[in-house]
Amino acid sequence: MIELEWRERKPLRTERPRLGRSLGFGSQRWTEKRPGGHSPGRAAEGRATRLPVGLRSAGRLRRLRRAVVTTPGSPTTIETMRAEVQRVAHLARLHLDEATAERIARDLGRILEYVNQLSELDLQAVEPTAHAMPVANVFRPDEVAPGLSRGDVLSNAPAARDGLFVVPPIIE
Amino acid sequence: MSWTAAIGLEVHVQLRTASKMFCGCPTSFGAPPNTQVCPVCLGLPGAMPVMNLEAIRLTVMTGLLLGCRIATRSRFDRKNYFYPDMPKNYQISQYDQPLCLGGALDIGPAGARRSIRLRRIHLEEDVAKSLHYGNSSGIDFNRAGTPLMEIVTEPDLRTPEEAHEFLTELQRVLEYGRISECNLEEGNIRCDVNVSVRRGEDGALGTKTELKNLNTFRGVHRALAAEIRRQIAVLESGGRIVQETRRWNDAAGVTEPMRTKEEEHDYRYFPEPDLMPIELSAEQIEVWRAELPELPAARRVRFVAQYSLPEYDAGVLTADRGVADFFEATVRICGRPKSVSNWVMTEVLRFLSERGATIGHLPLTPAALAELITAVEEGRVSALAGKEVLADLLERGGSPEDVIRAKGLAQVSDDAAIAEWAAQAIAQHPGPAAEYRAGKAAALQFLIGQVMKLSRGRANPKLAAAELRKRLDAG
Amino acid sequence: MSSPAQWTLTETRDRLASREVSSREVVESVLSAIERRNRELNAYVSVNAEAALEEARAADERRARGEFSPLLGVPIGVKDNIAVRGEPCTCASRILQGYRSPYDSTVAARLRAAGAILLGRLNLDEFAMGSSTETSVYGPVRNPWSAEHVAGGSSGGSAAAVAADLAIAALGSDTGGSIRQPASFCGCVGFKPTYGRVSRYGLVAYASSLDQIGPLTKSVRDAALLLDVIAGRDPRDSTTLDVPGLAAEAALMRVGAADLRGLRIGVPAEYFVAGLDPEVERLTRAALRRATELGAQAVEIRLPHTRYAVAAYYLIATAEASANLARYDGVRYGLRVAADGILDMYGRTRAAGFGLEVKRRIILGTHALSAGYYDQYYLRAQKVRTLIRADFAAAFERCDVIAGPVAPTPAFRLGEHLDDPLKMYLSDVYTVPVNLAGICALSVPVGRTAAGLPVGLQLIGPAMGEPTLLRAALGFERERERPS
Repeated sequence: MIELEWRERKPLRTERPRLGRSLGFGSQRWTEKRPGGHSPGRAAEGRATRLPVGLRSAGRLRRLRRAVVTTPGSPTTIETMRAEVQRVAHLARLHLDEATAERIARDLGRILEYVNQLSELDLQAVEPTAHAMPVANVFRPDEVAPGLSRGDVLSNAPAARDGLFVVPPIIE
Repeated sequence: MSWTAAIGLEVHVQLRTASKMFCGCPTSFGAPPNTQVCPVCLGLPGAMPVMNLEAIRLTVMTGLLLGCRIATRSRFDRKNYFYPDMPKNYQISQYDQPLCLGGALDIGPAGARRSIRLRRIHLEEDVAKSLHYGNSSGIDFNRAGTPLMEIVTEPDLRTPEEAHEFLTELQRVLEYGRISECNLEEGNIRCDVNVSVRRGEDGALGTKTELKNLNTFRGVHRALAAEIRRQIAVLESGGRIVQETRRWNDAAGVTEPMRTKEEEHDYRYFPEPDLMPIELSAEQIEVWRAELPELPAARRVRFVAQYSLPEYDAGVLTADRGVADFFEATVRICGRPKSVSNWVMTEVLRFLSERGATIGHLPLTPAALAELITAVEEGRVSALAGKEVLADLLERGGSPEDVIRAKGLAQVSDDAAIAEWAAQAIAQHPGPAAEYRAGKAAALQFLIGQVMKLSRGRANPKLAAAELRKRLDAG
Repeated sequence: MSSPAQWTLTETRDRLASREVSSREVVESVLSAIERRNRELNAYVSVNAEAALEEARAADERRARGEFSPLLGVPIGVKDNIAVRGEPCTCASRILQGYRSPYDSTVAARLRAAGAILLGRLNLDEFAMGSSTETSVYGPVRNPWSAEHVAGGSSGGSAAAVAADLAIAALGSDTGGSIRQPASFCGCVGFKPTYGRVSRYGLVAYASSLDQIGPLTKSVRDAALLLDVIAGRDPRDSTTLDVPGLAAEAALMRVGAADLRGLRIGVPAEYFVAGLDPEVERLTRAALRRATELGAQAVEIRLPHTRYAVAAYYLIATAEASANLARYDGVRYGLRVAADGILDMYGRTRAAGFGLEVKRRIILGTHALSAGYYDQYYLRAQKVRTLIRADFAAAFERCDVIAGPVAPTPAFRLGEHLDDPLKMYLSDVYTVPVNLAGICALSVPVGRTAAGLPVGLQLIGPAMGEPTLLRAALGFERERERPS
């Protein structure tokens, strides 16, 4: 673990602690979370009868397809989309040939425009949900359990030697 | 104006658990490659982690020992980056909700103690071990998933010596708390450091560099000394420090920049969906607090106050938790703390250092030592004979009375026997006898020594002195 | 007598128990049905016929000795993203070609313990990413009712196999509708349990906070029976819930099939909007009318954040997927494309191993998590998730179950949405809110379009609402129809 383990951290995100009900330690119980802890987005209240975006008309979809993205703060041109796709592909260790990159850049632009509708909502007072169920403290005791035989461990290995998985040289 | 360094440490500590952080594979060191793995720590498709409660407990105990705030709500996150020693290509770690926040560790001599502030302590999983061949690398996942605690300090350390002292003191705390085996050879404690220099004591911190992968405390010291020298030289020649990660070249005694182009680091942390959050109630934290051992520094102060020991004795005795426990167990039986301290500090510790042994593995029990000290203090065996008995007990254990009896070392207070040894001593050493008679009182000590020698240490020295004086004054 | 392959799960279980038929006969019947129709439907990607026949023989012996297990000798099909020891587990991806799981998923272990025979692996969208089973490396699954139409996805293989009687019952997985939508398209029952009801240990993760394994079956009772076997807390999956066992089938035994008296059915206005196919709407409303005739009461409810669900879902699912799919790197298993350096090996292996849709989702998910975008996308989506949960919680104050369409349309034509990922994503609008909220839902067939394509009704229950949901579904269940 040398170069890639740069431990400098991004500035901490500002996230409030969740208001989920605290559960007894060491025991896992299921309780339904009551909806009272937060107010629904105001934008949504007024438009309860609005249709799912994109299903409203074929015309809207056609407009989307032209992918001229206008939401502030999001990448705006196909050029920036292309650059972003390549940046992200590198993070994901995914070689993309030019045609695929181009294709994904085009799709990504449209998809991002679509998901940007979330900025209509006032979410300041809303806690994020990471888990569907409000459960905490699920542990196991510190006990050793049998693992896999080495035959099983290496049975799928693309390359192995002396009980080790073999890979091309790891650059230092 | 002189230069001051600001040093921060990130210390990775392997916890003392039987099984790994998120699965039941053993954590023991030195097994044949890839024999301590399962679907979870091998990152097989579909496998899922489950938190080891003991690892959580040990991290919270460390936080309590170091005065941290324990988070009532904490969680694990995924830290995403690719490396072949990472089975899932993300590491389960803690990002913005670590288990412990704040805290401090004191270093420095009595009277000039300095508090080194901690930023946080969090828990994560260790990675696998890579072995490098010429044109390929091999990977052993036995270590992957071992619980790893990361202690991050503020940049409060000023010198390489302080960094070394901090690590030594931290190691002592971790050993005291039974948090980690602290075996440096097995990589139980690994360290990254960051360092910057500035003119004078105050003012803004300079640009820092980071030094990676330092596996010994001595290495930390040497690397820091070299890096601080380098930074000062750069700045004094009008240059600038570049924020970068550097590697310590131990052979050349210099730090050098890493060769690769600066990677883009974007770990994309997000909450680990496979693990539920940790919520620690105040009651639970109190239960664990009650299990805390007393720390060396506090114990040292208590030893001085409670047992009226000199500072020096208290420091020696509390350096090792086992020794301090042994001392206290002995005193509980026989009292006489200063005598117990003398015996432990001289005979017992010398034996341990000669044998490279730890006190837990000795056949000698606190009860046996207490019995021996009582026998010496009550005059049933001489101090000299006592040492001989102790040597036997340290090797083989057993009861002091049995050893005294078997070796015939019980102190002799029989007048006739002492009179005979006194007469012999005077006859064999007419010179010192004459000197004593001529008024040189010190010569008596020599003659007492001769009586002890003749009696093989058994003669009661007080009675021997009286007998010698009687005979010399009379003749 | 019909052939055993056509029987329902409960029927097969009962006939095996009464020794009316042997396990060997059942397995042979299913194998010959596969032999006849799988080439055309492409539902199974591998079948272990010899092992299945051997297990059937052993099951018959066990039964002869008087042994009883709930599914003794019953063959079950398993989606190819659920690990079964010794069997391939490819997720219909090139990157896992040749991979065999060295361990059992918890559901596989539970099925085995109940005596079931895991006879084959069912086709899916690559890594369960899709709504049509067209992204499979093995090629698309055909809809048993019309070869030009998709079977739905991602559990298209499971749904087609059950609907066409190539399986007695099957397991699928549902991340955003992947059980319910193909069940609706193919005309079988598909059940997505409450998140945490069934262990995910051994389910190859797509989006961990949304994935759930569930049954695809020929009847509501079958779904209850299979759910009873696979549900329960698992110490290997921290997200499973510590709740009492279901005994869902037994509970159904006690109720009359056509009795919906007292049931309050919530009808969300947001689920009947422009874009909903008129035939789907007609069949859905007709089913609701029948339900009220059986004593149920329809209640108008609101789920105001429905229109944000698809956006939130695709951000959360792809973000989690981008991490979940990082492990496919050519180091320990699966495809490796040779290269001189490790970085090159990663990049080329993953380029060659993943299909276009998987790459697209990895890129989207990586982007949504990356520095500077996290708050805008991932965190925001998680907050919307809170609102959607709250929508459902408020709705369930007023009703016992919610009813609506499963998908805006019946099965669409092969290739129809393939060039338009966004359109494909939008077709999940009625199913993804359930996964975001972690609650349970099912699809039960309610009729066919003029073109003969099946349409399912979606019933949604609160967390842990499986018993109510199944009881309600019984009321909507009609005589089973089969494709010819």
